[in-house]
Amino acid sequence: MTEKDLIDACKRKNRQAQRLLYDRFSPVMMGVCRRYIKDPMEAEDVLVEGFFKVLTKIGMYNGDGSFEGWIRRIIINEALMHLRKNNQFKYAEEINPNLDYTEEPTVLDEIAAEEILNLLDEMPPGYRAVFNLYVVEGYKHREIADELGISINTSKSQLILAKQRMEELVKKRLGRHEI
Amino acid sequence: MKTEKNISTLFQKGAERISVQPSGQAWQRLESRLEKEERRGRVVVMRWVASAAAMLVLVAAIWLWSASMQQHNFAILDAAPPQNLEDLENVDGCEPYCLVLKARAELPAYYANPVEKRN
Repeated sequence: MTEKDLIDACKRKNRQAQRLLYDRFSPVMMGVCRRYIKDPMEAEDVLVEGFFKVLTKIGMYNGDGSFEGWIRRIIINEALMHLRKNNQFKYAEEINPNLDYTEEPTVLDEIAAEEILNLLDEMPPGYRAVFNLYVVEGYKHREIADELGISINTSKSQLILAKQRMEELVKKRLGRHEI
Repeated sequence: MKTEKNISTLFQKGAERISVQPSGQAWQRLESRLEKEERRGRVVVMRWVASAAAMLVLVAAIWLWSASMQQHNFAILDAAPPQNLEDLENVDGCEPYCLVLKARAELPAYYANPVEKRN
């Protein structure tokens, strides 16, 4: 079944098509949820809610842009809403975002998925969200500020602090490997 | 050769495609949510249809009533006018017509015995 056929069938509320769509995209989207939300049960709540929105709003997808990207955006929104509801965003004081921050290169060729999740789990939710949105999702600071209801400067500070934190965690966890 | 990558690149590469299998219950929860929503949607549609049907019945009843009133009126209009005073007794608004009938009844006698014209 092509993606277009699948989408059309879902628009007609065909249950099998909806199941297929869920099967196809839920593992990646669960991965997205798990990056933002540490607790697997809560992450799954967000996944269910997110896919509910995807399947009920699918009439609004008109082929503009990638379908997976459209789904991903809905899921990320859901994750952020969940974090906002549970008051998970506590922002450290702003540091001067124009400070020159150079990342110390980490001597690693790649990090395995499991390690990525473990590292993210160890970060506070606020940092984790900004880090995910900027580094992984590629959002700009203006978009992050809009999503999270913070100022652009706060977003920049949070990113710097998050990257520093991540550096520390990586070094602590993985040590320094020579590859 | 050492390959050094900074945090951002490492995460960018690795994190976007992370997959985690959801539990088996996730789909069931999703499905019951969908069913509840679809049932709710059907109830809304049923209510609309019921209202529309009720409106239709009301309109039909009014139309039928007005049609029957029209028929009744036409029947009255089509009927031959009453010739006798007795037929008109107790009919609303018959006074002018009663006068006409009375006059008609007395006319032959009047022409038989005309009143003297005054000079």
